[in-house]
Amino acid sequence: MENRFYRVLIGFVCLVLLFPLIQQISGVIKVKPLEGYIVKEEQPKFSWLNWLDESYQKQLNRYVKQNYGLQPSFVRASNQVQYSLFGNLRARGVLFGKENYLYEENYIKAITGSDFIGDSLIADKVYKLQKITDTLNSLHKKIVVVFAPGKGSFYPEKIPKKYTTKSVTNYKRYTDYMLKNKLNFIDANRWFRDNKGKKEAPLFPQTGVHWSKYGEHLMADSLISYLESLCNVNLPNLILDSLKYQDKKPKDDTDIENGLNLVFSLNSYQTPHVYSHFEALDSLAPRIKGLVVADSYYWGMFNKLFSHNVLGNGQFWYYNEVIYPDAYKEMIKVKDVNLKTEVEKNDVIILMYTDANLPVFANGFINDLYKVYYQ
Amino acid sequence: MGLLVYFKYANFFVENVNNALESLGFNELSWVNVALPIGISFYTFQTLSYAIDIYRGQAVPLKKLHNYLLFIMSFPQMIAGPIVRYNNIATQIVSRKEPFDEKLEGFFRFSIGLAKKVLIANIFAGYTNDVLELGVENITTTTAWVGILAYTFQIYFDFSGYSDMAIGLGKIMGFKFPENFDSPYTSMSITEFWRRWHITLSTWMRDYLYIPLGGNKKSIFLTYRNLILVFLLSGLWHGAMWSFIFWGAYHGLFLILDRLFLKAILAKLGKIPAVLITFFIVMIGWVFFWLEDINLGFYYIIKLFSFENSLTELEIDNQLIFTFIIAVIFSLFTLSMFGKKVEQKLLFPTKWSKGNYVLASLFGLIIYFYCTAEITTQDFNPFIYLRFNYGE
Repeated sequence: MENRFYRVLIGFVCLVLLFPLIQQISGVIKVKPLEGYIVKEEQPKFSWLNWLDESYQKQLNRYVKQNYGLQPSFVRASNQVQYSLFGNLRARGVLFGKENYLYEENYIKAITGSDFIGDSLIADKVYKLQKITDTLNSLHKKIVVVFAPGKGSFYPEKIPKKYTTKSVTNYKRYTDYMLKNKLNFIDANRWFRDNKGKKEAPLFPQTGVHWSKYGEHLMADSLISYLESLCNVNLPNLILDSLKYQDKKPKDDTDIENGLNLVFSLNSYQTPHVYSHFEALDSLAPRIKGLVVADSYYWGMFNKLFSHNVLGNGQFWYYNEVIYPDAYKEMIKVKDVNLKTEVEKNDVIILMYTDANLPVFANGFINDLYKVYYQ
Repeated sequence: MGLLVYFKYANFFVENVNNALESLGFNELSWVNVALPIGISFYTFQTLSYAIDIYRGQAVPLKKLHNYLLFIMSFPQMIAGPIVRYNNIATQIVSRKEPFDEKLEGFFRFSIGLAKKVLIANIFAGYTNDVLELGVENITTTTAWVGILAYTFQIYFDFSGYSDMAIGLGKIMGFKFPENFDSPYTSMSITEFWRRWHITLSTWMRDYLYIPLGGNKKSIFLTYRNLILVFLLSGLWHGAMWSFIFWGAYHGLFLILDRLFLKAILAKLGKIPAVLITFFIVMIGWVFFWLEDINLGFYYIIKLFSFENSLTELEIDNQLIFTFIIAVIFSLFTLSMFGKKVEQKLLFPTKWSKGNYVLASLFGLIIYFYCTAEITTQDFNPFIYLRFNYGE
């Protein structure tokens, strides 16, 4: 009788130990995949050569670590323990500010000025931008710079105490030069700060890296108005239907939190889901075609079909590297196309960057286009 | 033994000969470094014990080759101990029982070892690796102290963790491997320390080297000679470097001092001071073991007492502090009678109730899966978004 008890218990232990393997083979439990930018490990192909030089074993180890059964659940459990017991976060460059405000460190560097690239580099880039603007103006095309707000600049009071602010930042310098040279420039960073707490919903989420869906909506609306005035054209308005607060915040408003891959949600203030639509315009009304060169701040608007509805199905060059929506079908990169030809297909070019990415503002687009026209 | 000498010490020998030749103005000997087979120190001692125990009539030879291979290549302890002597295990190889309750006890023991390694030793290893990467010359005195304390616990929980896993796996298969650690940091003298640390090595050295040399049965001079010799060789056994030999000599010296006066003084001081002083002596010895360079070791010792706090100080995070607390508790737990009783009940049960087996199994499963999660996520540190940081 006693022996039977031990056998059953051993059987249970063995079954539980084998369960990840069972899960890997059968996929019996649906597990939510992990979030964040995760480089997928390839399953290695065996050869005597790569076995002898140990590359096979190392790659297999990396592959198995990423692909064993229930791996996302294990990662979440481990991350949750690390966070709950020790306050450790397992996402690169992410840290807690005061009162559980989440930041990516580069946004703090942007506001403290520790990523300042120097006056001469900024002056040089703005000079080239001015020249490009003049050239494009002569071709009846416009170039517009939008400085999106950064989490650090919007919530400077919540950044950890150990960071000290310097007087010079890339954002301040660039803004000075943009205004001085009277370029087409939207300082959304300033607008967001000036309207903090004054709008009907939060403009920035507590645990997200980008503006909130509501903030993004206001930005899109403002951009439409600006382009209408700049290009003297009537564009489809973005109509706000409703704001709805639900149990789960909009996914984009918790992107940093999601990337932490925890078991339990963090306590943070609510942000609403935004329901809106583009009004239909008379099909004969003049339209503009627009190219957007931007960082991840434009993704929300792009997915809301801003480029499709407002910019005549124009392209989105993500970090001036990958071309969307074409890349959904087949990877196409900016370096594979003729820059001059592509730019001149458009009526307006929008460069949208947040302060954290100003050290690499436009990711070479300005320099490359300047070379096309002037060198 | 010849194979051990060749594979482990040939490179060391040639390197030192070449250093001597170079200093005398001669050309160096050309030599292709020999690769070191993993675990050779451990299984060489095991194979030696087979030959010696049979020669001494303490056990009979195995009749079947596969039984001999089972003894030599027993995977749980083949590369990191405990060193299993043939006469301890001879009957178990040919006939052993594999009761189901002991399989569960073995799984529990294995999970404790895994927890020691993954949840304690690896945390300290993160800090000590950072110290080495920074460079000893760049750290503050505070960081130096935290570093050597971290290493002191790292090596204990790492090594005893492996031993627990080996003993646990052995138990699952019906083997009773000898214990290798017995709360060594509760020792009141270096003599006692070597009865509690890497017990299988020290008893091997005692029975196959120290006693045949005469042990402590001859003159005092010969006793001291035997102690130094055994510990020089113990140090050399750990690694083919002068720092390991020095470490061995360091312990041999303290064993002699124990016999002369030190042990008596420590006993008079009382339990806690004796434990702390012994811990300190052991910790200083670990400096040379850790850094694997005598000169660097002495430099580190000077750093410990130089009150240098203007250089780089490594951050001590919450997890490290927590792990230190756990390590101190688990290292010194058995100083109290209560701790000894708990250890006895958990690790050396005479009889558990069914409820205890269920709890132990659940505990083992939770620890096993959490450690698996930790091992597979220690490198998991993704960016939130792909970002392109070029194109200025």
